Amino acid sequence: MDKNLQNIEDLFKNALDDNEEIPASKVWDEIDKSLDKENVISIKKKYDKLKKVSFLLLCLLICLSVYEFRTNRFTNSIKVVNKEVITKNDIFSYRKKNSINKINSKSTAKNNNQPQAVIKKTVINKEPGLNTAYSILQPKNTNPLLAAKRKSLKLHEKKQDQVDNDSETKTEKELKQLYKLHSSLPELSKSSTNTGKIRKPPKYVNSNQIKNISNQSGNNLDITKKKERKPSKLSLSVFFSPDFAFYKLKDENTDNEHENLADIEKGEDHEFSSSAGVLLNYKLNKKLSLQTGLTFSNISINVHPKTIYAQPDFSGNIKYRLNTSSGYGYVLPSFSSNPNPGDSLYTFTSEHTLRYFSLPLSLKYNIPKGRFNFSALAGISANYLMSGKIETTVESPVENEMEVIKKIQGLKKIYFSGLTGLAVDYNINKKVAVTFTPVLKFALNSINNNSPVKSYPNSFGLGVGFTFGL
Amino acid sequence: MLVKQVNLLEQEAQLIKDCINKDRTSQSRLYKIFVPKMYALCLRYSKNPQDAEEIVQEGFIQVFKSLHNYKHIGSFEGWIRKIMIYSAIQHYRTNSKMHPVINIETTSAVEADNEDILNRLGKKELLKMIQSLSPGYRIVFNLYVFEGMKHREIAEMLGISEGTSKSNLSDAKIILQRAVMQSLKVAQKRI
Repeated sequence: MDKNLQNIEDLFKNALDDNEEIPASKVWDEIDKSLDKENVISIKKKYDKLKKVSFLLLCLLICLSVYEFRTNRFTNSIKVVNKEVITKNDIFSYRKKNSINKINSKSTAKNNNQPQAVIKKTVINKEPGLNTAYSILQPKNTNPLLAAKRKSLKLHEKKQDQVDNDSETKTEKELKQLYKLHSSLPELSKSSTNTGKIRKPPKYVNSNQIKNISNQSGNNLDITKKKERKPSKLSLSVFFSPDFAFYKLKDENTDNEHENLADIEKGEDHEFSSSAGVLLNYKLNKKLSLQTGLTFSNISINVHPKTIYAQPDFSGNIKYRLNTSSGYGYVLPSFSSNPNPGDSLYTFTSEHTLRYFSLPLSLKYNIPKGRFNFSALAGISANYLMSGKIETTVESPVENEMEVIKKIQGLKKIYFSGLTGLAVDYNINKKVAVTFTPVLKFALNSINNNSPVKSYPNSFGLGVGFTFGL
Repeated sequence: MLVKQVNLLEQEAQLIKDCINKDRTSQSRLYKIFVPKMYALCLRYSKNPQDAEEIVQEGFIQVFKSLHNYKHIGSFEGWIRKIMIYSAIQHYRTNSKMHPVINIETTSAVEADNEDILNRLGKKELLKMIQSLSPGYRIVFNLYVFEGMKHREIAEMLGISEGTSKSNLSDAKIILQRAVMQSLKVAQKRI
């Protein structure tokens, strides 16, 4: 019995161990569908992460900009205050000194028992922007002669004032009034020992400083009218945009016998694409503005592994032709340098990359709302091909070989695309704004001709950047 | 020969890499290479071809999801096989319970050579016999006979005791023997 049971084990094992069966084709279809669902979820997750990171970086940038702006404003205000403090302090110290000198001169006069004239004179330097005032202090007791001389000097000064009225600024006049003391000249004989010490008050370098002081002291001086600058019509934007690219393909009906539109469409996936550039905005009026500039874009497309076939190229040489949605190219690996037409080669995952620089021209309709500025834009862009290449790895019996096709055949030098989108600007200050611009770009003509398929690239970009007022 | 083996390994590695990169053509290629053996395995673990298709489908989805975990240690086919077995067990865990020990009457043995039996009955009929077993007996029988696992390992995997595993195997063998003998008798009558 046991032997029979052991035999049963061996019987089934020998019969069914290496057994092979093929399931129905729907099994793979179901697996295919499930994998597509998984891809969609993983792509969403992948871009979710990218979006979160972009948002965090943007927030960090905004915070840094606000911090920078506020610290600059604070330091500027300190400088202004310091200037004012210096000038005020100078005035106060000057006045103090003057009063001290008065007391000193009084005490010396008393001591000397000699009448001493109090002479105060303001001498205004006629050099522009420079006003100096100084005084010579002497005790109050004066002689009648001195008094008469004072009168004559007053008259003389009045005349001087009349002459200078035209050239003097309003501030200077008022300053004279402020700091004018008794204007009389002392008669100073050579023998006199009372040589009044002339103390120069602090210099007021420019009338703006005077204005600051006078405003602080309560006088309503309005020296110079503020020349209000007109806001500039020009502004410069710098941006970076991750792009979600998708192609529209049409059959070209060339003599390509091995691949059709469906094969090419199914066999390719768009990888991460991006664009960046500089844009110049010109305000036509409050609502409308024109935008142009220079942008660079990079498009990457993944090509699934496939079999490629040898056929004649332009010069009649037999090479393996690799078709893509952008165009085609030829490879001739070292291990198969002399193929016959129809010979095949297996390529692993390939990648083709296109680089363009574009000249866009758009019209923007602006709606300002507080610190935000919303705009809708529409325009056209001329796109110039900078480079187009295909990189692939071909299967070989010995060692797989990497091939690079530096120039994709069939690509046009220029193609045109339309632009439409929205822009949201947040003004950090009068000069700087953060910009968020989702834009849809759609091809107006194909990027290639005489290729297996005609391609019309479309993309949706999420541009993020800064705008600087010029 | 060695060069060929190295090349095969490299190609396998490249195929796995492309599958990890979610390249659909490579995934399809991998499926086509391994599905005949895996489907046959799933047929042994299932009650009918429809269940086997479900198991193989779930198994391959799991293979593609977990491919990045494969560390190139051991055979790749063995790794896929394990995933299929887990999928089969998971499939029946949700649908049925492991049956307890059942007393089965012993039957009289009919002595016959395995080759002779195989010639008379054929693979498909033997497969049907396995499929007619209850899920618990079927899984234990497959794990013991085809995967070469010990009762302790089987018990750990299925969450049953070692004794239950032994009894299930024994019962499975008896049932299969009865089934074989009945089929032989029917085959003999035809002749």
